[in-house]
Amino acid sequence: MAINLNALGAETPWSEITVTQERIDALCSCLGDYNPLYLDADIAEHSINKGVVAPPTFINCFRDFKTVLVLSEAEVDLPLLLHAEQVIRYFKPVRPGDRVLHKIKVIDVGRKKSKTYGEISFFTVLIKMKSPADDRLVEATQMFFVRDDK
Amino acid sequence: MEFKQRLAVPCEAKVPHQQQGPFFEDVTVGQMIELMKPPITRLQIAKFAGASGDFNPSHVDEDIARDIGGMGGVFAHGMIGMGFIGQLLTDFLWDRPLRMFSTRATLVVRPGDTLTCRATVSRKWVEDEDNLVEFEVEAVNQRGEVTHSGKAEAVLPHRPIAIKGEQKRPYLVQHRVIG
Repeated sequence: MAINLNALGAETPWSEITVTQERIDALCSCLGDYNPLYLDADIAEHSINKGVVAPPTFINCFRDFKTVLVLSEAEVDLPLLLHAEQVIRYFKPVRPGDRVLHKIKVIDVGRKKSKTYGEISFFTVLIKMKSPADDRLVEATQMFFVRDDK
Repeated sequence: MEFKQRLAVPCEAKVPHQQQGPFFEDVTVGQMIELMKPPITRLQIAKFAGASGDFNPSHVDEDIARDIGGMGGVFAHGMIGMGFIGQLLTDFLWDRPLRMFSTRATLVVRPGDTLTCRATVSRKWVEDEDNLVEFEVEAVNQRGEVTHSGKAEAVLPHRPIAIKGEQKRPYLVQHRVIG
């Protein structure tokens, strides 16, 4: 068994962070995504959002406690971990300068059959991002496979 | 500082300069868009680890990835491929908002692999006040193997209709639209 099934329900506290242009730059730079709507205030000002916004996969940069949760609660050996799938739902744009609150919760754990790896453990986390005024911004579920230790 | 300097954007990099996203009427079911990315590099994977905070050794430590992870060496974060597909979508949609975006990583992507991302319009529908477009998305490697598959939903506005010189939203002239 490569995962502690008792991790179900484990969650991090709400954590506050300020979105910065530097964090957006870092993501865009490594993806090679130079869309001015994320990077150029002058061009972005003329868009529907009236300013720079974060790219659609920016929520992946909010993981302050995710690794801790995976290691301490799910007791996963990181090299055996594989990202399986992710669903992101968008409610409001996230902008540089925004203060956002985020938290992560383990919402599903179990065993299933994988075509590639045979029987395998999995767990799913829910990542929530909201404004200090409690507006939902972005929410994502991420499912991970954990291969059995040979 | 201009972003091209700030990010040291390579000369050959594609920088989109679209000024307006598509309207609901502009998009047809079956329409396909495509983006071919340069080969994935180890530096890119390391930079993504820094940007995302995901320093899983499977992505950045060759020895651990090979000997403990048993994966034959390091491989890219699944989220890099998702980021590429996100780029394809937003280059096309420009500032039209995504409502949902999902991907499933079906095959590991290694340094040197070249991903081609595709999105095909699979459905158009209206839900309350929103005009929605669904895309089936995928990324394939240089061998034609699917590495990521998923879906996305975007909200697109109607194209205004000119009537007697005035731009009208279609719902204001619905009697004409439905006959």
